[in-house]
Amino acid sequence: MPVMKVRFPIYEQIFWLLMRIYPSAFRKANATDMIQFFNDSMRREYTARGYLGIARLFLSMLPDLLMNAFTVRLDRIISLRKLGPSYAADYRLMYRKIRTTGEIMDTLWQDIKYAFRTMAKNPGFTAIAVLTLALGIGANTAIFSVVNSALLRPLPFHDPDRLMMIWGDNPKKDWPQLPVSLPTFFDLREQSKSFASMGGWTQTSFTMTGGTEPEDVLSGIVTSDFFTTMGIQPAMGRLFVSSEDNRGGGPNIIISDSLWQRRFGSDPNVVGKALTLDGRDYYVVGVLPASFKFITYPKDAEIWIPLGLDPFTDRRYARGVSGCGIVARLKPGVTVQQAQAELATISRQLDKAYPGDYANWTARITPLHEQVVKNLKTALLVLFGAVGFVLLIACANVANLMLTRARSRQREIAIRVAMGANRLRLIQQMLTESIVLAGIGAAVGLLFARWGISLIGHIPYNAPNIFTPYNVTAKPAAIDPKVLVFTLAITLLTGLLFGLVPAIDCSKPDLNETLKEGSVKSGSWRHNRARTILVIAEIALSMILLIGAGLMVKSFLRLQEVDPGFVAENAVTLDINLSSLKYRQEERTAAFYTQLLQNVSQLSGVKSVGIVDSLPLSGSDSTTGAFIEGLSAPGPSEKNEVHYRTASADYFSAMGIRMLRGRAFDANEQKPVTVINESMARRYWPNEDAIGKRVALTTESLRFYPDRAPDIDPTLGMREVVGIVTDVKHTSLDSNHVPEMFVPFSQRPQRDATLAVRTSSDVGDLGAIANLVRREVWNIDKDAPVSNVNTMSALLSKSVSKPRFNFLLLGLFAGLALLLASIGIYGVMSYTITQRTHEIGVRIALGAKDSDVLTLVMGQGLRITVIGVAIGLLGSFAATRLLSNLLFGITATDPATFIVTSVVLAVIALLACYLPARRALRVDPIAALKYE
Amino acid sequence: MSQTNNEPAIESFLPLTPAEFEILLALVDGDLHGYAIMQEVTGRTLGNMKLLPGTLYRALTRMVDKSLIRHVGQPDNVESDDERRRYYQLTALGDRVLKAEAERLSNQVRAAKAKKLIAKPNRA
Repeated sequence: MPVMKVRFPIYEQIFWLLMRIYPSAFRKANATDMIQFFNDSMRREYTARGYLGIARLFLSMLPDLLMNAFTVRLDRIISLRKLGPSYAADYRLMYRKIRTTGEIMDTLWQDIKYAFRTMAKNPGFTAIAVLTLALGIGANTAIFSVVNSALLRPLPFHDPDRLMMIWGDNPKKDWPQLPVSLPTFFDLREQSKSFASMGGWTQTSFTMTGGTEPEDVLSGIVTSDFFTTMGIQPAMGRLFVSSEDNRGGGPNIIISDSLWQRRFGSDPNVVGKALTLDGRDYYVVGVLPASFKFITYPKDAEIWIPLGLDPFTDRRYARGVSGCGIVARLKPGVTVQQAQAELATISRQLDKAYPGDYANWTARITPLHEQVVKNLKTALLVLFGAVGFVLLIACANVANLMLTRARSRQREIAIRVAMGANRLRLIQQMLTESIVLAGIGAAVGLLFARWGISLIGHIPYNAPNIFTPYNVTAKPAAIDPKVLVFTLAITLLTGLLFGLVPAIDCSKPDLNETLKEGSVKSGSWRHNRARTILVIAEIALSMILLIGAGLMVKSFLRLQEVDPGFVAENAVTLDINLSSLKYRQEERTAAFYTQLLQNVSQLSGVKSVGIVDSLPLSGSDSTTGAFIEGLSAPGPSEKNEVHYRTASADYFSAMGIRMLRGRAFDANEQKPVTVINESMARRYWPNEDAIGKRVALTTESLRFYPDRAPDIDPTLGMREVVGIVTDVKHTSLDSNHVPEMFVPFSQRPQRDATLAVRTSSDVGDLGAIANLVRREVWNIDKDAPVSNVNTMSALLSKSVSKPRFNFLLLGLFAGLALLLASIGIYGVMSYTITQRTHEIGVRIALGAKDSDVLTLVMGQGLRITVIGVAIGLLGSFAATRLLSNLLFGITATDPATFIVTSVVLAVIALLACYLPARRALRVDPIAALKYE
Repeated sequence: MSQTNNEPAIESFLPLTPAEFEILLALVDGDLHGYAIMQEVTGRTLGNMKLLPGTLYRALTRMVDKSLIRHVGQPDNVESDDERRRYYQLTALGDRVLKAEAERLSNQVRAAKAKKLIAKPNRA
C-alpha cells in the first residue's frame, strides 16, 4: 500500500521542544528516532481519525514522555555521582527507605508549613499571585463546566452514541437539513439494513380544554418504533404498538411527565383517564419518564399520538410533502460511514423510481450528539482555548513574580546548597510552594467560577428550532465532580508550570557570584532571559486573544447594522392557535381573524395590525416549489423553491415592511394575487417588471386522491403579482435573502397565526397591550389560546444573543489577558530599572539627558513589545481561522482589525514600560554611586 | 557472588519488565527499528500492550547499556525509504536472557495450570 509521506512540521516542532525534558545525552542518542516514531504514529492516526487522532496521540503520549523523562533524569542523577554501581544500589535502597509513607508525609507537611510561612512573609506577593491565578483558574473552571454540560455529558438516552438523525440533504435548498416525507421514511426503513430500528416523528398542536382556561399543547406524532428506538421505558402504562401505526385504532395518547403533574396532579391511576383535545376525548395509555425531552420547539411536546391518529390523512401518500424527522439506531458493529453509504445508494434508487422528487437529494445521517452540539461546539472550543491562553498568561506572570522573589532568596538558597542541601529536595520544596499557591488560587477561583457560571447559565446557547428540536442546556452548567477533578488537574499543572522554571533556575545558583558580598544586584543574563521570554509570550498570547475579540466585536457591529427589512420598534406580537375541531371550515377561521383585526385596530394606541403565519426571526418558516409562468417547464419543479407566507392586508404596514412597487392586498381580496419580495423579482424577472406576472405555488396546485399520490396542476394555484416589498431577514440577521411570496390571509386562513400590532408610541407596558388584545381574542372565542407575547425588538435582540455572548466573553477574556500582560511587562521593566540604577546614575553623572535615559530604558521595552506583537500576529493568522464560522461580514484575517489591535496593544505595552522608565529619570546620581 | 566468566549471571537480569520481554520477543525474527517493534508488539498482543515512545526508548537505551540488544544499520533487504533509522538486534546474551525469562514464565504458568486457574486451550 503506498503510504503518503505527509509531514506535520508544527507538531514535529512541538515534539522537538518536548524532547528537551530529557537529559541531553539521552536526547542525542534517541531524539531523531523518537521523532520518526512520532511521525509514523501521527501519519497513522491522521489517516484514521484526522486532527482528532493527532490530539489523542498527544494526550496519550504526553504522560508517558513525562514519566519516563523523569525516571531517566533520576537514573542520571544517581549515576552521575560516579561512585559505582554499589553506590547507585545503595542510593536506590535509601530512596526506597525515604519513601515510607510516614516520612513522605512528614517532608510534605514540613514543606507545606514552610510554604505558608513564606507566603505570610510576603502578603503583597501572595495576594497578587493568588488573584492572578484565581482569575485564570476560575475562568477555566467556568468555561469547562459549560463544555462539560453541553459537550461531554452523554445525552439522556440508552446507548446514545448509536442514535442517529436522518435528514434530507439537497445542496440547492436554503436549509442544510430537510425533513423527509412519510413515504420516504417508509422506504428508508424498509430498504436499509444498517439500523436496528428507525422511528419517524412530526408535530402538530391541539387545543386542550376542560381545565381553567383553554390551552394550546404541542403534540408529537410518532411511529410505534420511535420510543423503542430512543430506548425509552414508560414511567407508567405502555408505549405504542405497531398496530397503532394504522388508521382505525382507538384514540390513545401518551403524555409527558409535566402534563401528568399539571393536569392530573400526579395521579398514579392516570392510565385510562380522558383528555379533551380539539373537542374530542383521547385516553391516556402511558406516561413518559420526566427525563425524556425531545421536541422542544416551539415549546415542549406534552402529548404523543400514534401515526394512525395523524390528523393529516394525506400524509402517507404525499411524497412531496416533507414534514417527518427520522431517529434511527445503528446496528452494533455498523459504522456511520457504512450506514451513510447505504442510504446514499437507496437515495439514488428512489431518484430512479420517482423522477423529479429526489433530484440532488440524499438521505444524510447526523449523529444525535453532533446534531445537538453542532452550533455550540466551535464557539465553546474557541472560548475554551481563550481561557487556556488566559491561564498561560497568568502562569507566566506568577512565574515572573517568583523569579523576582527567588532573586531575593538567592543567598539563602546558595548557602543551603553550599552546606550540602540536596538539589532535588530544594526543587521539591519550591514546587510544593507553588502548588500550595495554585491551590489557594484555585479555591478563590472556584468562587469566581460559580459567579461566572451563573452569568453564563442564562444565555440560550442553542435555541432549538424545528430541525433541531432538542435543547442541550435543559440541565444548566454546574460545578459537578468532573469539573472539580478538572480544576484539581489544572491547578496541579499550573503549579508545576509556573513553579518549575524558577525552582530549577534558583536551585543551581552560581555559588561564587552569589556568596560574594554585595553582588546581589548584578542580575545574570540567564534570569533576565527567562523573564523576557515569559513577557514576550504574554504579549503574543494577549495579541491573539485581542485580535480574536476584535474580530468578534467588529462582526457583531456589522450584524447590528444589518437592515432586518422591518421596523422592530413599537411592534408587539402574539401567537394564536385555534382548535382544529371548532375551526375545521376555513370560513370560520377567516371570520374569526377578520373580526379580531377589526376590533384590535380600534384599540387606542394601535396604529395598525396585521396577521401572518410565520413571523420573521420566530424560527418558523415554510417553503414550497413554484411554477413561474413562461419560465418553468410544466410539472413539479423543485429548483424554483420559494418561501411563502400567508399575510393579511395590513401586515406590511404593521411590520414596517416597505412596499416598493404596486399595492398590498385589499382587506377582502377576491382575486388570486400575490405580493413578492425584491429577491424573487430579481431572480425571475431580472430585466422586466414583475408586476402582472403569474406564479403558482406547488402547495396550492396539489390535486388529492383518496388512494394515491397527489398530482400537481399549476392552473389550480396561479396567482398574479400585484406588489413588490423589501427583503426581510426571516431566519436570522446573517442569513441570505431568499425569494419570498405572500398570499392573502383571507384566501388561505391559517388556524395558527401570529398577530403583529404596531403601536403609536413606544410600548411602555407590553403587558397592558397584550392584555387588551387577549381580551379582544376571548371576546370572540373564549376557548382560543394566546401565547408567546413578544416585541419585535426583543426577538431581534434574542436573534443575536449567541454572537453577543461570544463577543462579550471573548472580549472579557482578552481584556483580562491584556491586563495581566501589562502587569507582566510593568514588572519586568521595574525590575530591570532597579538593577540598572547604578549604570543609570553613572550616565546621568556624565551628563546624559532625560531623553537619552528614556531612550535607553524604553529601547528594551520596545524590543520586547515588537517581538511579542510580531509573534502574536503570526499566531493570530493561524488561530483566527478557527473563528471564521463565527464571523459575519468580515474575514478571519480582517486587516483593519489586525492593524488596530497591534497598535493598541503596542501603545498599552509601551505605557507599561514608560511608567517605570520615568522612575529612572529621578535617579539621584550621588545616591546611585554611593550604592556601590 | 561467584562468576566464571566476565559476563554477569543470567539470573541477575530476571525478571524482565513486560516491555523488555516484549521487545526481545519482537527481535527474535529479525532486526527492527523502534516503530516496527511497537507495531509487532501491538499486532501480536492484539493491542493489549501498547508501547508508547517514552517507555519504548527508555527500555531500548537501558537494554543496549545492558548488552541485551545492540544498534545495527539498516538491513540491505529492507526497501530504503527516505528516512534513516536505527535498527536493533538481539545479542547472544539477550537471546539467553529471553530464553531464561520464557522458561521462568512458563514455570509460573504451569503452576497456575496445576491449580486449575487456566482452562485447557481448545484445539480445533
